[in-house]
Amino acid sequence: MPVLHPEFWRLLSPEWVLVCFGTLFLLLSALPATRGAKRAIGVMALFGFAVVLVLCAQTLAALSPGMHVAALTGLDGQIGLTVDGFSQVFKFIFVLGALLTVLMSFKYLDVEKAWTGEYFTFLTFAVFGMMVMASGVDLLTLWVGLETMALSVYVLAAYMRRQEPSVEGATKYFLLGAFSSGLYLYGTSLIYGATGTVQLGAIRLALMDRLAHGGPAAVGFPLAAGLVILSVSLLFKAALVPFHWWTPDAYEGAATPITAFMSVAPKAAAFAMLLRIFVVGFLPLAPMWTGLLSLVAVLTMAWGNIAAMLQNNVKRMLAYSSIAHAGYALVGLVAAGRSQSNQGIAAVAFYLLVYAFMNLGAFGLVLYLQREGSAGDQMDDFDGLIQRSPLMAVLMIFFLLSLGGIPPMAGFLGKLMIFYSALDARLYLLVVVLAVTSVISLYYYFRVVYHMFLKEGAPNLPAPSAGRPLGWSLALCGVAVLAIGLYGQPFLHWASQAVLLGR
Amino acid sequence: MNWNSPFMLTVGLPLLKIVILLGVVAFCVAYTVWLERRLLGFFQSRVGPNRVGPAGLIQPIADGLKLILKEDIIPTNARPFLFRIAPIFAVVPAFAGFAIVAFAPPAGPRASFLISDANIGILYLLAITSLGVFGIVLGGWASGSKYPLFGSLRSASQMLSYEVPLTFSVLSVILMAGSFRLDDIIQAQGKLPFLVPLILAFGVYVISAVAETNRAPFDLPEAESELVGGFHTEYSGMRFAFYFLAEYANVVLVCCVATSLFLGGYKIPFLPYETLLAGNPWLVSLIGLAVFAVKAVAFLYFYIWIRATFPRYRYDQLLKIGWKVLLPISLLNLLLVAGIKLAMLR
Amino acid sequence: MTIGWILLSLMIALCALGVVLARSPISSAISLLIGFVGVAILYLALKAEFVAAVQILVYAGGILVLYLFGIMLTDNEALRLTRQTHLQAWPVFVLILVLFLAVGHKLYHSDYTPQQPDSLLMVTDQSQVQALQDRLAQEAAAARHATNPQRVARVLYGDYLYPFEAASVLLLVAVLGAVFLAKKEV
Repeated sequence: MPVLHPEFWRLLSPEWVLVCFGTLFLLLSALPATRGAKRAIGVMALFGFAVVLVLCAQTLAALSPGMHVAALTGLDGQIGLTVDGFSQVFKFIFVLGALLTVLMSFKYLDVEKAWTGEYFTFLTFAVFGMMVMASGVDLLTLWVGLETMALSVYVLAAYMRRQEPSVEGATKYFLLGAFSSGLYLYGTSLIYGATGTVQLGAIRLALMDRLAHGGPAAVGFPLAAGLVILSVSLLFKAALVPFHWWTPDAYEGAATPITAFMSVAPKAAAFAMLLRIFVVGFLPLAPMWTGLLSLVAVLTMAWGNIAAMLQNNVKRMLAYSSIAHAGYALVGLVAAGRSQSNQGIAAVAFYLLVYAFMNLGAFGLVLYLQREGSAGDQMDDFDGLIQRSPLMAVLMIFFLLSLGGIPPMAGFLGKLMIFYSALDARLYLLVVVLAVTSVISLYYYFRVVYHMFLKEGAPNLPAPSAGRPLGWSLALCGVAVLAIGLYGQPFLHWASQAVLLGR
Repeated sequence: MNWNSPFMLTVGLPLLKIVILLGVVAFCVAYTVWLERRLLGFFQSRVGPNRVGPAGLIQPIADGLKLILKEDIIPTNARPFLFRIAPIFAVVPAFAGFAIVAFAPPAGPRASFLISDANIGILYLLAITSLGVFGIVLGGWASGSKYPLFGSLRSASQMLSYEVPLTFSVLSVILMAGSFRLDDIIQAQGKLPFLVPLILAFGVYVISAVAETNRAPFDLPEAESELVGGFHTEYSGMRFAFYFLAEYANVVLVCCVATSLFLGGYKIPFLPYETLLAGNPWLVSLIGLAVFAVKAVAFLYFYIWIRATFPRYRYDQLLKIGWKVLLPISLLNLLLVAGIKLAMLR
Repeated sequence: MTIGWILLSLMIALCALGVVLARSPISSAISLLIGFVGVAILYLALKAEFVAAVQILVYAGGILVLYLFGIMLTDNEALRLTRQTHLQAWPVFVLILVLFLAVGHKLYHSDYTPQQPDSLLMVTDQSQVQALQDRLAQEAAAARHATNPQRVARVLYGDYLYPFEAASVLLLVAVLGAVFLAKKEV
């Protein structure tokens, strides 16, 4: 009679505690309840994510310092996932994103009168899927995680299903997402056909074997085609150009807290999966895929920033800006493939952490401006904010400066780390593009500042109200953006724990 | 003729068995109809068919002749190709299901009473019978008329819904026997038929099976008072006969499967006649066949009895029973069986 | 035997083409049905009986019926006569053909050898490596005598236990999502 090892339960505690919470929310939401009772589920979700956040930190600390990996064995050897520094760092980012999202959701759900228990259930299960994506070490486990996350996020994107834009955006996202998921499986089948395995470690061994015996020609077309097809689906999930078309519509239509969540957590999860697949499984092929991904990175940084300049809707602008930021993170991934150090991976992890704070903060400001009958996402909504609520305007400047990569904000440090890792890997072209596009991005970030400071707002507009949870989350993001920017050492150290075995 | 040649063993013998089985099943189906009509007559205090032959025994043959000779009408609105092939989709799965039923203990290494000893046994049966719904859906849709379409839609959702509790009840049997093979399942019931420990599963199975075969009180797809004749309203002649054949073949199949899964198949409790008569394999087989037949006919009687007793359900009630009553019960039962099995293993 | 393979593959390929090219959605669905059955036969020929049965039970008997349901409830003449593809289809078709030929050519000429799973990678202790190798050899020997469902069960509840459990969450999310989006009030 096989019994799972106690260690197993301890190492996977974030996952199973999260699933327990998700199931609890589901059961509670089936009860007929008043709005107040539904709010209680929100409070519970807050508590749940906080607990899981602690568990993530705890499991990370418990990993043996030298190796940062714990082997998990099932009945017959490996069971398709691992718990290592990399996975735990990323899980922390996901849960943090979800926690801030829950905090921000209170005001939105109050204003829209859209409280349900399912909202938090899907949020919880989405984070569970991301955790599987960060931990999985074979292509099928990763797929299960990817789909769990994707299905939850499709539903969340369509959450305001009485509003046409929400449904439209979600439909586009769903159709393309379903297609990309099919592509992932097709790519996997080609890789399986060429190597006889779906486990990333074994794929790597097979690749090294082939390269040693036959040189690059021995890799074979099916394997290369499989890798390209598979990466298309991941590039789609991370919303990288040219697979980004769904992003602005889905982001604009979705409920604002969900947009904030989508721009942070699923993106980070897609990057975790990209890193795991490319840097563990396909490292021997790095000369091939770094070229491809460099191209994608250049396109993404250029197009994301240029298109963001043309937007008048702040949510749309932030959508394009999030595309551009994914391009910056991709530079770190390419660097990780090129150089022999772990610097690139740590840079990506650090960047995604910083990005979570600053992007959620910026979306939080949109939420702050939301009132009955208006989502608060037009440029004009920001007019004269400095007079109405100076504190919030200053916070928004923090976030925008950070997004633009201006010292002393955290975004600057994040970009710097990416910069260093790219220089280290001698990716000069990417470095130049990164620098130039960052400058371009200042234009549209400062447009918001211009609206806040120099435009006159409508005369008798009441001062927007934040409500306590949103206020807390904004304060947390603001403090984090400033603190990481001024004193980044502990955070950099924390991110450097995100190493991948076999480097 | 050399019976031991590889060709005969792999192709000839199975083919022969298939032909014999098809004939036997077709015969059984015909007389199931006769039995049903006679029994319904008695249940309703009337006589039933008694004109053609002694006790109406030739009636099925007369009916068959009549159906063959009738004109095969294809309505103007129908989609002709689909309309023609749809009945085949209904008949083939119903007959193909019999391939894995073990009717009797084998009389020798090459003289077994089942066509295919597939190790996925019952799973094959579930798979192949799940295809039967296509005949009904396509037939109803291809007729190009309103009532058949409604009938076929009803039937599709009904069959899909009831497939779930049915599969779960079968799953608990598989759990008890530890095998998918029908023969293994029967062997596991040597001392006690599964009817006793799995009475819950048996109840769920019977109800779901009645629904799966579209019979009263769950015969909504062909409810005369609402939908004229349901999915086969527009069919006539031989094609109608095909649907008729498929329905009754499914009924016979359900009886055979219930006999194997819950009633102990060809086993007699407390009377291990196989070991007592071990020297005479053919006799054992014949006794086994008879035992199986008696049990199956007893179940068939029960089946017809249900039809004669219960009034038809309303459609929403039907789906409610499936999803809100039968499914939880079958899940609970599965959990119970798994728990007991686990406790016994410890 | 080879002829059987070719015929079967041809049938599946034709059905797949039928699914894409047929004008009426119902014809597509029926092509898909026959294609599913063909794939199931392919599984049977590869001695994967369990997968074959599940293929029929889940795809043909379950999912496809729901497709038909959808088609019948939304069927109208205009939809049936709409071209399902447009001019973009041709370049895409050429691209796919090239991909297919290249992959097929390579696979045809490659000597395919399945490899052992990489359980060894995660184990650092040498004695554990030996123990693991012994166990893998033992299990390989046991697997040769196991029936197909038993072997599937070992893989599903052994090697892939975790993804299997995670898949239950995935299915729960799918069901929930469908119900949530379809139900009447928030």
